Amino acid sequence: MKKIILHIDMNSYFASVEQQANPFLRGKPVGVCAYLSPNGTIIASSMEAKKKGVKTGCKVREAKIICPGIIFLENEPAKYRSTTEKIFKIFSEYTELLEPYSIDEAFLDLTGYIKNFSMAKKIALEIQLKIKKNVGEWLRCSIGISFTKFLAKFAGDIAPKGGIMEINNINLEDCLKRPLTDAWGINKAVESHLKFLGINNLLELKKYSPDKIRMMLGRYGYYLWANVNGQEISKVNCGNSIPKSVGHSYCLPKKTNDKKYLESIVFKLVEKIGRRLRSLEMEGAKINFYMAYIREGGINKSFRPGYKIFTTEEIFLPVSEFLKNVNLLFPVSMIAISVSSLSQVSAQISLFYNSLKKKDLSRAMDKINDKYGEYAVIYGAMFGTENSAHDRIGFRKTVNIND
Amino acid sequence: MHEKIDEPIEILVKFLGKKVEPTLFKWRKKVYKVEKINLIHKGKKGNNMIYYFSVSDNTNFFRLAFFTKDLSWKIEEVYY
Repeated sequence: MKKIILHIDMNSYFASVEQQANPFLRGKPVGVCAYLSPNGTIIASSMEAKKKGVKTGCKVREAKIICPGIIFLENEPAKYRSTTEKIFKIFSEYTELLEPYSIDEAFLDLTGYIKNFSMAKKIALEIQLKIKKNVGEWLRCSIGISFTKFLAKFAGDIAPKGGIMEINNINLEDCLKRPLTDAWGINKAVESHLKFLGINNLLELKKYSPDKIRMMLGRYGYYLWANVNGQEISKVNCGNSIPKSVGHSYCLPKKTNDKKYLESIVFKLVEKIGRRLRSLEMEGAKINFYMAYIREGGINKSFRPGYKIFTTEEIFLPVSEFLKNVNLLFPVSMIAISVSSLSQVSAQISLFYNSLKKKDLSRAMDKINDKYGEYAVIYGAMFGTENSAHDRIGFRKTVNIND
Repeated sequence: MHEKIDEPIEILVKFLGKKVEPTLFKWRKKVYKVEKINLIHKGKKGNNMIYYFSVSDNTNFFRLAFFTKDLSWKIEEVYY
């Protein structure tokens, strides 16, 4: 039985939520930024701003030149998460198989709930109307319908803004007469590999020999071929799976090689990671640390401290030790830290390292912060950093709306 | 013009089933009628759940905040 998958993508989401909240911003170019400083990056621009050429990723100072009347707003993650919660609640009325792909995108598997694509179209229309009625009249979404996740997303991506697009066996080849990079998972680098094989568009990829592409590009190449041929590679995942890693990154408002400042940001990030790890009742075995230079390149380092990582201190110590000794060639623009090799937390006492007291202390501090607000009680090393590394939403992949 | 504020307000609200709707509020000795509730969202400070109401009259946008911990209301933003 062929599946019926919907991909729903909210249009210009953060900017639309701002225009929904404040009707006097509607019809005007709006840029939602990580920071309002000239070097701040626009993470979402309104339809009006997009029409004038202000794209996501544009710097504030560049946007001012392209579109002099643009209104800049600092992003407000709580507002977007809360709005997403309401939108996803509407989606959940139609199926249990709901995969939140990012804060403004989701997959719905309607197989078994409805019989065909025309019923799916009706539901898609109903969802669009419900979002307008129950969440906000200014919020629009594009909906793609097809029989695999890939094709549903592809349909959603090529659908007109606020529209519905269906890809079925009849129109599949017509829809694939597009550049390779229009498809999910094909970037410039992959495109150049495919072009080297004489594949110049998605339709040519569909008609290419699967054996040959597997031989030339490995399993990934085969997956690309299978995707455009309507073969299911991944199912709609309800999001109950255990995370592989927990991490945070932060683009510094002040590009610097001041190690004291960098250390304070690191501590703030590791505290956020520690809080999430503990709320998941998980511990890790590996720490990954990355600092991007203001120019190209950066420093990448992984640590396996030999003990299970659970407390903030346990993440911080190896990273700070490394930071103290590392030679920074240029000012740093971004820091990313994650903890991976995760497993359920255990009460196992180590022969060489007793961490139970520290675990209990961390849990007690978390309880206080849960009750009285973030940073009600902090480690000494964090003193004075309360206003750095604010909650931010990046460009993509922000699945956990409850963070 | 966009202004961030943090001032208490006096407010009249309607209770409609499970919903609460601000209708009228007094800020800096002036009374404003809420013509439209554009967006409601929530946030948290510790265990203090805060409901934010983005509302407007014919000429202004306001953001009102309702703090569930002490049942107080504040105005946090105005755009005119």
